[in-house]
Amino acid sequence: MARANGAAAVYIWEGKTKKGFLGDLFSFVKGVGKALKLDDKSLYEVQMAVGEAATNCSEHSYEGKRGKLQVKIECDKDELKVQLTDWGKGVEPSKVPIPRIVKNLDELDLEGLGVLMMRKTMDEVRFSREKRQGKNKVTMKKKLH
Amino acid sequence: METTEKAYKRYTILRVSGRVDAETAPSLEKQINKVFNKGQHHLVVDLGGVDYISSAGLRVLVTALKKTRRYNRGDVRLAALSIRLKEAFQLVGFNKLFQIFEEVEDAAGSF
Repeated sequence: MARANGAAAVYIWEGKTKKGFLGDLFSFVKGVGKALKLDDKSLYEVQMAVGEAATNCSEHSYEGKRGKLQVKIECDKDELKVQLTDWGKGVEPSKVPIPRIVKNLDELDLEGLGVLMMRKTMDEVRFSREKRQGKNKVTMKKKLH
Repeated sequence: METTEKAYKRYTILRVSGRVDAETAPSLEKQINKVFNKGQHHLVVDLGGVDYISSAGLRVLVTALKKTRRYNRGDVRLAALSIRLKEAFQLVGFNKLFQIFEEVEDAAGSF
């Protein structure tokens, strides 16, 4: 875990989307949460959002193959910003499914469940592509109370 | 993630512990299908030892629920969820799909 900036707290994780990477990433987020003294609920929600976003990078952007992933967590006094960057094929932001909650098992569509969890746990979720640099970013923000 | 299976006459209890994420969920699915393949569709999933569940884990449980309720073959009932896990189910409304019990014994006794 690297703290890259003295003013605002910035933590960076870099790794490959290989077997066991989610466990490493979870440990990183847990460490950041402890350093920032996040309460249990907020930490769990951030872990959930990062886990879902990282899984999407691995499964969709890299189609299950190994690829580079960077996770940057920045925190000022009342907001946490998490940014995941991958260099895979990316997902067209407009094609990210808009999930919905249903009460009936028969009409349940499980596609987009991860995105739903990201949107439910964070205050803002944004998907973007920087085509020239071949980068795909997921930027998520969470207000800290 | 680890699973332990205990088979009884009327139901099977599957105790799950650790982290259920995209990497471990396929193993949970395999364990559940193993129970179904034995003809048992009354399943209690004891989540007391689970500290984290992702969408992949939730997907496995909902898929199992759909399989058991098809043709009224049985049910998947959940037990011993931590507060964080309960919140994960509530986030996506899955707490309304499952019967959830505080105690494993109560879930088992409901069959």
